[in-house]
Amino acid sequence: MTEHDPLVGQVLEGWRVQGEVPDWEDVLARAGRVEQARPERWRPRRVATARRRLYAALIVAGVVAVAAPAFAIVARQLLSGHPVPGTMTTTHVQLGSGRSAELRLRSRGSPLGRDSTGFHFLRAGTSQARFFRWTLELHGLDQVAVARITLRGRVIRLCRPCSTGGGLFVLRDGDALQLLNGRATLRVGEARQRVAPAAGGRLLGARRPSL
Amino acid sequence: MVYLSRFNEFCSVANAILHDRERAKDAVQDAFVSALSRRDQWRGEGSLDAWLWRAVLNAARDRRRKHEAIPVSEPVAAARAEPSGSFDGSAAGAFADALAGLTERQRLVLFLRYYGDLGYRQIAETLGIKPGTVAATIHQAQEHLRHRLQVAVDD
Repeated sequence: MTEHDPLVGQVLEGWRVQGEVPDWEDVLARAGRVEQARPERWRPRRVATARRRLYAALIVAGVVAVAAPAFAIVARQLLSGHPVPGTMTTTHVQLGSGRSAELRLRSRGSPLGRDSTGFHFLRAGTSQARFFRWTLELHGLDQVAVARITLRGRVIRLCRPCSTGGGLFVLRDGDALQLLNGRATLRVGEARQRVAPAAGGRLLGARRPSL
Repeated sequence: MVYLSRFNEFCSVANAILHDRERAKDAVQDAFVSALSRRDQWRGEGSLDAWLWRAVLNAARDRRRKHEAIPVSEPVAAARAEPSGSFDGSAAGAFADALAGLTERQRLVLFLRYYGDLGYRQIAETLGIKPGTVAATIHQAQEHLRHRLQVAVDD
């Protein structure tokens, strides 16, 4: 401290401590007590980590609880392809000279029930619809002039001219039920055949819900 | 070992802050207990000495804050009443008054320089300031003390 003014040194010298004996054991003992009370710094971190994990688990559980029902609905739509049991029917038409045609109809859409009187929509009072996927196979010939389905008051033209193939159409309410319940006629070329009642749907008891 | 080799220097700085030799020693003990308990916080950036000096300064200032409601004049009064070192009674008051006129930074820089014999860089690292600031601060503090003490002597 040679650069210090002797007067300044005199000021500071008054507080200089000399001859004090260090007590390292005391430091170690007190530090040990501190560490025993709070081992290193891992405990707070571990508690904080556990708390964060708990929060994360709760959040995940909440998301799962909220999303699971929705996911179940979507999965049912995606994986099953239809929300209620679908229907299927196959109608054979003899075209003569050993030739024939086969129409397969599969439907899905608004929920259906079925009892001894036939199919009906389960949700009365609202507009109902079924999607019909059709497939026509011709046997013994490559093509026919026309294929169509006739309902009461409605004609559904499937194709004209037709070869083996398929397509999709939609019927609503009573029209869909006519087709499903076998009250429709299939015309292939010049031949006609009553469409067979569909199989499938949700089989219910004898009681039909009131409309 | 820094603790053993520099214990009296640590105590001197703490004593200059607290104006109480026993409390100064306690503060140094507290500082090393704290440093030992938090040794994982020293990441090897900067010198260990500076980190320990900082611990001592903090411990002493904490004690001063806790035990005194500190008007700056209180340690001055304590120094007047009970000179702890080589002061004679008449000089103690003048010296304490002169020190009380310094800023906190000026006092700490002087203490570290005088008692700890630290270089500008070490002081800078300890206090978190630039070495150039240390030099300027020492100069200002000395000028202030010379002026105050000269005035006191003239009186």
